[in-house]
Amino acid sequence: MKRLLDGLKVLDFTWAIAGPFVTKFLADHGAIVIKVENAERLDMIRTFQPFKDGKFGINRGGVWAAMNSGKRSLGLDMRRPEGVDIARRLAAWCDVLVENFAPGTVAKWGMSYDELKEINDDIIMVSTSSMGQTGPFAHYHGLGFHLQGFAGFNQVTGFPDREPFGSIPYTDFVGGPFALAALMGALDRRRRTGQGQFIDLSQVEASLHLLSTVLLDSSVNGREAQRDGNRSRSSAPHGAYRCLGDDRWCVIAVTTDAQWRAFGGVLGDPPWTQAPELQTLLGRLERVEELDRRVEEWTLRHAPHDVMERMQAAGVPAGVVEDGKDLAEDPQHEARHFYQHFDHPEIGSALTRRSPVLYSDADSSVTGGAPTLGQDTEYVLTQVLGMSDDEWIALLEAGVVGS
Amino acid sequence: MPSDDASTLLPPHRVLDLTTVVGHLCGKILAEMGADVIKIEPTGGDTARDIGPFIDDIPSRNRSLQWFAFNASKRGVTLNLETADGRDIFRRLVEGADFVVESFKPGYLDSLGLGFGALRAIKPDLILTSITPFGQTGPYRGYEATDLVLMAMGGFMAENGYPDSPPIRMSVDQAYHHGGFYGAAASLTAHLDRVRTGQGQHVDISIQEALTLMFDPPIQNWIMTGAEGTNRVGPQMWRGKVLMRLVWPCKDGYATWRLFTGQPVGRRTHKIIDWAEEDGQHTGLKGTKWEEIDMMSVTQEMLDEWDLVFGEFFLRHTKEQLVEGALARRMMIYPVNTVADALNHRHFAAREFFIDVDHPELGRTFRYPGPYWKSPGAPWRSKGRAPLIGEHNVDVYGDEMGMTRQEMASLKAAGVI
Repeated sequence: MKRLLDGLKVLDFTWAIAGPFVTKFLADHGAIVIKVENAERLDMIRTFQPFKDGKFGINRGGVWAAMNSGKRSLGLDMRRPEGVDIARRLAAWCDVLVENFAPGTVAKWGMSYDELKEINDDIIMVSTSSMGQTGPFAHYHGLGFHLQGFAGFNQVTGFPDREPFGSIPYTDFVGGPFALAALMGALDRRRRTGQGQFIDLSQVEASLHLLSTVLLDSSVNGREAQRDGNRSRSSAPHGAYRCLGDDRWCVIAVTTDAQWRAFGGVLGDPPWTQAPELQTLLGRLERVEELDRRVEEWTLRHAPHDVMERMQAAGVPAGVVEDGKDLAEDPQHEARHFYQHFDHPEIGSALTRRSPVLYSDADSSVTGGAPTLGQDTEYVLTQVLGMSDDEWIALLEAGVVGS
Repeated sequence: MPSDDASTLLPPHRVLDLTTVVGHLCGKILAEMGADVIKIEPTGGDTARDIGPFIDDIPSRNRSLQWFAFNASKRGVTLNLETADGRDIFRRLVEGADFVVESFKPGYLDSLGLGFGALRAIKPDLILTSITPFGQTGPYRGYEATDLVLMAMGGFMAENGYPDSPPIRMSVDQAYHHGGFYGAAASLTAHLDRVRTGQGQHVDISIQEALTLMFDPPIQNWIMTGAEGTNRVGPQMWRGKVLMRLVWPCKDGYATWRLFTGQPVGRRTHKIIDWAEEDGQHTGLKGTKWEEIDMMSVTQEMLDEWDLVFGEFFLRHTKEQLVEGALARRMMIYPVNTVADALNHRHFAAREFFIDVDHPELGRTFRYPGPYWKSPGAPWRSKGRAPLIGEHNVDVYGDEMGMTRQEMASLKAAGVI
């Protein structure tokens, strides 16, 4: 089956998460993605645990392999003028350039959008940085845990009487797909008008859209959003409950009175679920702590998948708190062929996953494994840029290209 | 169909938006790029209108901030797809549509005779995008889902919690939006192929899959090391054998900062010690050679002792003092912003990120998050607040489809619109 972006040429100057998420989606849709890398300025994800056999190696990381499958790697030293020259030739070749360095980095190479437009007048360049390219905090360096706190997500994660927190670089994961949508729009505009486009996407600002309701509650009603554990103002019980086994949990969300009756049915209609004051939402909300205790007394006697399946069979929203093993073995993911294994020279069989979309008439499976550093250098220089063997080997010997 | 208008990323592609709260964000993204998005609600209004908070805390279907937040820039009509007339009108709308976006339970549109095959028969190159919790196929496709269920089954909750608490979600619903932004990206990807080949698509988005993308580390840890279980460490992270603090109480809230040791990053830590000493705090850590300390050899006792010093430093400063000092000293200390902090932040003000949107029905304007991307010549553009119930019925059914007022009155009486 065809791929939707067959033939799209992408120059990938991304690293870490937000940028690589954009180019991974493009690769899964058939684009040729050339990732520019260098051993001296490694993509930090190449140094992330875990590694194959517990042995550190820039080509051995599982997380890197999952996030970068289907891309090609060009080893290139951008500190050398010859390296920049090669990058500029690739910028003239590509349809799309994606980068997520600190603002100003590509300009230092003479590769700002205005400069690249001179050599490729309809290039689309996506710059996605944490705070955007402009503004007083544009150059304020921060990591994932800083940025999600800055956007406001920490403030609404946790319990009201304990520290706020957030444990994943959430704004990266949100900024990437928002940037993708804008990029697709820019490609549509180029098709209509023949014009290129520069897109400056702020990951923090994109992420703030996911807090729109509480931003409005603040600006309209003056109310400050607070973290509230797993509680809901419109559902009870509504929480994660300990199940049979070691560190095993299942969530249950009773959102209607009918679901409450169905929930009681799953438990065999014990007397406490029949209490008249628990037949209404307000009644259940009033006694929510007691409810949580009672629910857990029951879930503790059952495995999490058993709880989920019995609740779902009765129409009650419930789901296993899936850890890494559960996600890797999830029957739904398996049925939809979400994961794929690829042979990898240093990892052996590497697990990766496709983008979260299937099409009726196109293929979105992963196109290949993740590249080792500089793996496609010869291919890019000879097949894409048309260099002779002598030419590219001279660059290799001079240390301009390679790994 | 497409105009040559270069002033927006998208021309006014016609998008029929049938989504529930599960898929609202998708159409909003497309609308603010330039698409003409018509939100089709059941008669009486989308059930998301019952979700609070409400303007002035008055519960009413035309005052839901959940609704306004994710349906801005769309036009709105009401249509009862469970009537034959309603389905007939919908089919006529599909003839002129470029995209249909929906988030019903898999199989529901088929049960109405409006599944992909039926819609494709009307409009051969239609793109139908379905945004659902688990996708259109697989054993969980019919499962009941809420934000809590998806945050559990997508891997988020196992990575969030305090050591002595259950796994937790964020207290503001998040999961559905991950389907929304991938829905927008994938719909347009299919469109780019359609303009080359003339072929439409059924685009099948799984929110569970979208969430799972964030959890490569625990998946790979299981695959490569056999490690399983939840990772509930609160405002801390594992580093070597110890739990390192990331969130610090300060004078007026919280800030984020982490300790760096070893080469080459350990030198960063001198800056906070120097700052503390300048402020008159006796740290006792002035001579510590942070770049020579291997984090793998640090014990929890050592870390706890240092944390007393760092903890005091943060408690002596406000968020604003910390940020100003960090900017001047090129350090990584960030405030944990409250929602109001974010709304009033000077960085967002300089980028004109928050925008004031008119609510003429109330004679007021409200502050919304706005352009999160800048694209010179073809900017992000708000088309105004979300529609009230049936606000554009006359525009769409009367002016565009040519129904008479009498026909519309009949349809209204029959519960169709």
